[in-house]
Amino acid sequence: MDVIVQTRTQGPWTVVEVAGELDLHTSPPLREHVLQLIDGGTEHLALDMTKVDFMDSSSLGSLVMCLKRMRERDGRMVLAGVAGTPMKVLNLTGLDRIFELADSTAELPSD
Amino acid sequence: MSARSGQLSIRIPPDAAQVAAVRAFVGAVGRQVGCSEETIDDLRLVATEACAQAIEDDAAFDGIEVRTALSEEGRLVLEIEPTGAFDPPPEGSDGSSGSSTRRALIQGLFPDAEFDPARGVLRVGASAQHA
Repeated sequence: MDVIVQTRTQGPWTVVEVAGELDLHTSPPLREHVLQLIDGGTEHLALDMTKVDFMDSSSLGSLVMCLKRMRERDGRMVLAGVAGTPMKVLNLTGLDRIFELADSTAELPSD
Repeated sequence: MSARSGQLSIRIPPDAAQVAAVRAFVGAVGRQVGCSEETIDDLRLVATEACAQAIEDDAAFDGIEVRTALSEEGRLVLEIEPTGAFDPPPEGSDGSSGSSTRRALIQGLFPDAEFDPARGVLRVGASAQHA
């Protein structure tokens, strides 16, 4: 199942809507999509995780790789709408302090 | 999926695409025995991490078996075991960031989790209300 629902623009942000379960099998396509966006010049990237109901540590590794690439480009990456098990995984690993989080894409800064 | 003496089990090939079936299995069993939704989410996560570890280590030659059973104390016991020619990863490989993160997650969710490195078996227990 493809976890990427759509990619859209919201002001300065490129928003990737993600849905379903992120794991060892489903996260690599998401990682490649996001890395392509970053390498293509996207400087403000948000992952809308509102509809993600499961995430494992393999997926976290993919997200960390994307965050690292974005920081190398002096860009900004936000995880929006993280809740439930995905938030628990972020908390347990301490990565909630590394990622920039937003309650929803509506909370993304406009500047 | 198979049942024997109150136990239920599922066996998958060592393929990341099949781990979702393990999550579905664990979720169904957890609901059947009355685990809370939070506990079910934790069990699904632990099962996923254990399966992913076996697949990444290339340890599960034949497949991965996931077994569930109710203990006499009314706990749902979950075991994840790579089957067949299990070849434990070399010493020191637990220090890799991936496996250490997995281990930290599992221990964080289930401090009483038992891991047998020789067989690669992970065993966790959780309270079940309908036991």
